[in-house]
Amino acid sequence: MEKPSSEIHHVMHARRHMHSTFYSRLIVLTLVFSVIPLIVVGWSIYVYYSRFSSDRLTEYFRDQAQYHRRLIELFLRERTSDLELMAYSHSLKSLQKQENLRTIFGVMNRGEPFFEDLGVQNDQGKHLAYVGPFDLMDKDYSGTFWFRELMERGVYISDMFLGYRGIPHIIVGVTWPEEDRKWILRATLFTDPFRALVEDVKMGKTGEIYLVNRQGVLQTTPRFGGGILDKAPLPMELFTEKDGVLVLDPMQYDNYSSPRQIVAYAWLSDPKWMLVARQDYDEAFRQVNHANRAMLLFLHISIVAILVVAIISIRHMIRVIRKRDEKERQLNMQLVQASKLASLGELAAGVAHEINNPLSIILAGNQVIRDCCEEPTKLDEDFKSMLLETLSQMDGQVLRCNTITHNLLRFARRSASVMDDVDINRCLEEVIALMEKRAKSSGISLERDFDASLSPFLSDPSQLQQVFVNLISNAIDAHEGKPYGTIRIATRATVPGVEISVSDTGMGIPEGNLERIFDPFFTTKPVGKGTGLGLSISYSIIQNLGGDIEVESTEGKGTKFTIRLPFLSPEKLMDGQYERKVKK
Amino acid sequence: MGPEKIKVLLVDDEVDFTRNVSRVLIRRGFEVDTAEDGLLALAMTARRHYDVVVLDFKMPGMNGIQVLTEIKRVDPSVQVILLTGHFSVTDEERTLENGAYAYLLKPFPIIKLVDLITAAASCDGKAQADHSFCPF
Repeated sequence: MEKPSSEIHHVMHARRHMHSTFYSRLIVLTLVFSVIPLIVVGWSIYVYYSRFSSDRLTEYFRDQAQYHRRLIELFLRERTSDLELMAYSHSLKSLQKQENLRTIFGVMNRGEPFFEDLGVQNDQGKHLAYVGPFDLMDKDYSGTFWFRELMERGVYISDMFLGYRGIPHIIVGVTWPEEDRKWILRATLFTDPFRALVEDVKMGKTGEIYLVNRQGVLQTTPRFGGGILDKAPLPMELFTEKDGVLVLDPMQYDNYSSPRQIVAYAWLSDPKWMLVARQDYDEAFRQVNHANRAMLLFLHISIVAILVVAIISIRHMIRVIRKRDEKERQLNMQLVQASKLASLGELAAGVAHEINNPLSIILAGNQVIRDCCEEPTKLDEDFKSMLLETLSQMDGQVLRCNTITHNLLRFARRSASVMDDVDINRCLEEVIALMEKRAKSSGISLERDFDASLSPFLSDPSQLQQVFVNLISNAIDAHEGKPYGTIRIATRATVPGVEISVSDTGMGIPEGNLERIFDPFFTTKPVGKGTGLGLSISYSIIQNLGGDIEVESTEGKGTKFTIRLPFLSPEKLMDGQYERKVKK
Repeated sequence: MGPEKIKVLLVDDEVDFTRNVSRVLIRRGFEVDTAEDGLLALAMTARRHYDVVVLDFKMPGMNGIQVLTEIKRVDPSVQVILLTGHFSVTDEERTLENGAYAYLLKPFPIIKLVDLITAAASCDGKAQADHSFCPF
């Protein structure tokens, strides 16, 4: 008989392979269609938002620089205008008088005092009059840079310088023509209100604003690093003639210890100073970075969550599919078993029929010979008795053949079930009573675990008993070589019917044999002890009754057979598959 | 003139079988004819009366049941014994319902058939219910 089990194994192997391919494919699909887009979108948002924020921040720094530049310009313009107004509205003659100049000085400083001193000079750089805390009347300014610049331009604001007094200060001056000669109205500014305009601006912890001149000399004291008139911390080569915003890495200038920073700068028109607003890059971008980091964190958590959920759900799905396939496999095996039995049944019927005819001929022939022997003949008595004995032996052999064919026929017969109400517990009790003596002599106890609530149902009691005798008898045989053991016989109500199980503590069935135990003629018993048909017949009986039989076994531990029988529906009985026993 | 010989018709496609059986029967004082198939058997029963007809169930052409039905229709007094190599509940019922005297499962000791024929011939024509015979 063909063994389809290897084929089934092959199929199962292919299935398992299919499952793992399916698994990896689903994982890849999840990656491609959810994780990767998420990463792409997440990173695009990150990049876009970063750029947007940095643009905004750059804009803010530019505005800060421009705003403060305008403030400084406005302040200096006002001071220049003050001087111009005085020069325009007074003649040199009146200004030359010390008292008049003092009065004007008082008027100019009447609100907030911006001017430290005020002097009127001729075109030779000599003071004609002077009001202020210093004694500068005799000083000759004709050689100073600011004097030359002032004479040339007419209006002049100097860089911060020390001058004769040795304190950083700024000079503002205007010239005025009178009678072909120019005279000068010059003032020194208090540096404090001017410097406060930039030095008091605080941007975060690291932000600062300061002014430098063209040569890179600080015009105000920055919050960090350097004082007024020192060299500015950022070299002038970094800046262009146009206003702008820079992000400076430490590499770009020689001060390697300072962190990355953002620098906005704006040029004043007059004097040619540059206003610098700077802050550590990290601090400036802290809020942006914070938001971005939260988003990235969320992105990564989402990716991990998707992956975890995907893996869990795919695993679950695969498990369900595997379970379904396993069920299908069992169903297939049962189907193969059933068809095997069916074809064997056909074969058996054919064989039986074919054997029976020659057997009848032999029997008839025997009778002819026997009759001949009865005739009064010349045969001697010894020969006659020997012939008769031999013929009887032939009869015996023929009858033995007949037993085989009839057993085969009984095995193959499927139409002769006799249905009756079965009380399964009582039915089992009868079988147990039959087997108990045999079990006891092998040191085996039979345990009952019956569900008393089971109601009688329609089935074939004698065939069922045949099955139970088979199973219990096998269970007893399974204890060969063991001094004692237990066979547990249990019944249980299930939703569509009953479940009967016979479990033993015997030697168990090797896994390789498990698939074959229902095969006809498969036996592990010694020759002559078993026909190999018991379980086969049991299997076909249970199948015919609409139920199924299952086996679980652990080698060395024991075996459990489980039979499930449905309560047959009347329609099934009507279709002629079963015949109801006629009660007389 | 002694008791009238019982007239038997053996119908089976196995010629060896009918030859052996007829030898046994003739030796025991029966008058025996043989036929190889159902049609021939019907022709022979039409020509003369037989007390007992022994029919094989499985034959080419008409099967045992058909021949039985036809014989019973023509002459209900003929006793028929059916031989079958293949037992089933339905066969049994159909056989007896159609008026056979008994049926025998092949193979069987020939003496049993002799006894059955004798019994059938002495029977008044009514079919008896429980003449099935299983020797083993």
